[in-house]
Amino acid sequence: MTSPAARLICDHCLLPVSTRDAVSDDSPGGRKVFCCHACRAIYRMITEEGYGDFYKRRDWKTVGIPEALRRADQPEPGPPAAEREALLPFIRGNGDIKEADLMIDGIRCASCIWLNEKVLERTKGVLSARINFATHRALIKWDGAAITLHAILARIRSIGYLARPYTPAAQEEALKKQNYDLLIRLGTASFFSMQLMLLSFGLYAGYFQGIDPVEKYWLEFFALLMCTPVLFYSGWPFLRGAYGGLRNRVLNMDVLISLGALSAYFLSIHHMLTRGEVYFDTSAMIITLVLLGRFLEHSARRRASQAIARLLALQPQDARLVRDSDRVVVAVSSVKRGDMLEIRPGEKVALDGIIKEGVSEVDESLVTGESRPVEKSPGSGMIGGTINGLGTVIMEVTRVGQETTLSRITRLVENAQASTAPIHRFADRVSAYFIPFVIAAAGITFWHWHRYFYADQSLLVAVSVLVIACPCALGLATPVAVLAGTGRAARSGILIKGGDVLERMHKVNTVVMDKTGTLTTGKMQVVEVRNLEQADRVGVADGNAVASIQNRSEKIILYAASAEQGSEHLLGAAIVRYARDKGISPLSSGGFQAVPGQGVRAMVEGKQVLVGKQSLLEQEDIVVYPEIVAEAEVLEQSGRTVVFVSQEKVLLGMIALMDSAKPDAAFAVERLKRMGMEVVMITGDNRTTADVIAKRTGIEKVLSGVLPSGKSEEVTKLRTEGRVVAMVGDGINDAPALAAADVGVAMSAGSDIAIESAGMVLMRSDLTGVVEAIELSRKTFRVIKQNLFWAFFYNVAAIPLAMAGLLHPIVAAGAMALSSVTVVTNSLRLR
Amino acid sequence: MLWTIIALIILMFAIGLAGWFIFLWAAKTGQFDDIERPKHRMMDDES
Repeated sequence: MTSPAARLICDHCLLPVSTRDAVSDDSPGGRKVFCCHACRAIYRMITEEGYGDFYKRRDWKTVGIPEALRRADQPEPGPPAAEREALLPFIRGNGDIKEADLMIDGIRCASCIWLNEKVLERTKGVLSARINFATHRALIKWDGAAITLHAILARIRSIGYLARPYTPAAQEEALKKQNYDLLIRLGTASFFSMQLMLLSFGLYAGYFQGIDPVEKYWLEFFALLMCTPVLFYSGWPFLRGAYGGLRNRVLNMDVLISLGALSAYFLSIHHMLTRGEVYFDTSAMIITLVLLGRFLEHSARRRASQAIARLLALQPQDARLVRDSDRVVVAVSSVKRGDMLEIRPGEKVALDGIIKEGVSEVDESLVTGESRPVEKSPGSGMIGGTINGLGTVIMEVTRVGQETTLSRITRLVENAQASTAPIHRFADRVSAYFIPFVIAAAGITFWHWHRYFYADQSLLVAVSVLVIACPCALGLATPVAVLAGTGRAARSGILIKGGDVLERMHKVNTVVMDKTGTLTTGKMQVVEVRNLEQADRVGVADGNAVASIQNRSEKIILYAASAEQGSEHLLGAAIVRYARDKGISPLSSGGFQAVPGQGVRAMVEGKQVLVGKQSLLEQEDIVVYPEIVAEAEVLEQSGRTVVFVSQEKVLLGMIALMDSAKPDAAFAVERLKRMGMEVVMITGDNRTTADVIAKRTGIEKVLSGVLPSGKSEEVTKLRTEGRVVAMVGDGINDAPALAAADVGVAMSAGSDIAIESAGMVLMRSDLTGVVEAIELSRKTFRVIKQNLFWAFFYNVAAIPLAMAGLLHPIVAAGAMALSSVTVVTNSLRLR
Repeated sequence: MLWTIIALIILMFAIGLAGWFIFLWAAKTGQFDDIERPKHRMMDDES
């Protein structure tokens, strides 16, 4: 017997394992021990994917899945009855069973939803949790006696998602109700039409093979029974629309549809009594197909209204009020102008205000699209909804409620969405010409028959002209082509939100592009390193001057990168990346200290290194000579950001960084120009910065220095010049402009709000998608036009037969089927 | 013959009607509210 095997601990799952069974692996971080090969494989997978930090950061030492993720028997200490005041307005329900709607941030895929649902369902006191896949909204029911909503929110936060209570906007509720109404009408129409088609097939067969008149009568009777609800219930919106149109003396689509369906219905009833052929199926199919088309369009449009709900959700729900030395958490709605709020690191700024105490950096990308954090000190303004950086500040509230910047942006988006010109439907315009034509044809037929043939049959013949003229495939012509077109687009990474977007896109002649994040990568890159060490600048005539300057630049990068290696700052990360690309490995450093808005201090090999703005260096009594400052200003004017590097009180040099144009931007702009588009760049940056990028991408027209709220005005101005404008952007500040443009195109890497307000989303971040989208929309629209032609063609061709009084029901049925088949096959060519 | 046809039509109509009622019930109880999530839910672990 050997001595009991020594116990080791598996580095992945933390289970104890005997030395004999242990599997070991030599990873870069040292020798690791695992209990089995599966654990080793998973460990490798995790580290190779770059998530090695997981093992350092996980805060549990127990075996297997951490207890916290499995079960939460102890929700929050404290009595459950003490529900936070700020949350009360969102809770519904009497007694112990409560429910509330939550909006959950951070959900990316189905597994996120799974995780949230499972964790909530296993939380004691939560009765049910259902999360909507598309809207990321959760309906939570819980036992008020066992748990509080506050504890539920904390629970969701503990697994890395952000949940906040939410009340659905009235407008959205209305849309939901509309959608439900349409669904019921469509479902009803479909079921009765299906039944009706079965009966019609019997009647078709009877027409060819002969049928017993009594049997035919019964079949017709049931057909009438099936057709009535379709026409008068499902078709009610069309009848009402037609009535409204006629009262306003407008011949719209509804008039055409109602005219066709009603005349087919009443003519069939007349024929039933006089032993003629019936057209109930025509009547019902018109309604059903058009309804189907409307339903498809409506569901796509519904998503757009969620943009506003998301915007509202950006506003924090509670604020930390300063009362003398106390801090009280209250609902944002109860905060008044002049109140003092405390904002801690990482928190969202609750409302607009002015800083009274403290220094920090604030991420304002929400409002300005600018990815660099903005430095804030007493006296600077804060914008509600932005995210506070490293410092704790106290601010005085200056704007509340409807006046805040965020509410103003929300209103801008709302207005822009509402004022988007009503879609001039191509079909509507066609029917505007077609209806008078049909009515004229029917009138001539009536008059001619009355005058020259059988007066008693004249009305009947005239009505049959109306019946055959009604294009059944009209309802399918647009939606099917749009469906095929959007499906094709989705496969090449372009999401299109509806037919109207495609329709407007093909007419676009001006493309407006946002600079940051759209034309540029949005990431800073080192573009220049300048040596400022005094000895070199005096100009030592050295044979190795070139070599030494090379080395000097490397030295500057080496120290800057060493000092910044712990930094998560955008500029720091860019310097570290640049060093890595140059093959410079950073020296060991310590004492890292970030000075918000100014730079960093760190000890590199025992020497103090500063990387940052001029002000940081001056604090340490390092003199920056005026000519150097002037040199830096020249660089900054050309769109670069300059940081100084010093070592032990000696200024080493400066590094210029810049946001660079996307590699494919110039190519995409070139292709757009060749398609006859005018490309315009719009940016909040100053003229010089903007011109650098414009020159590099080949854009001639530049609108620079545009305020975030001014972008939509510029777009509107372009539209009033008679241009059809597509706006490409990615920030929340672009959202109003995206909605104001004829077509808004958002980059998928952009903010949710931009994506929701845009009609089109590019899943890839390269701009050639814009070119493809325009090409595709032109192709789709060509197909739509052809479809409309075919939808009308067969019916128009049959009109002479009807006018001659020779209309066979089989011609009507054939025209109907042929036009539908042609339209669908023609649309499929897009795929 | 005639009564067979009528009976068949009525039977067919009854079946169709049943389908229609199921649809109405489904729409009313929100079965169509979210058509993405349920297909993923079946992949979830039990419990």
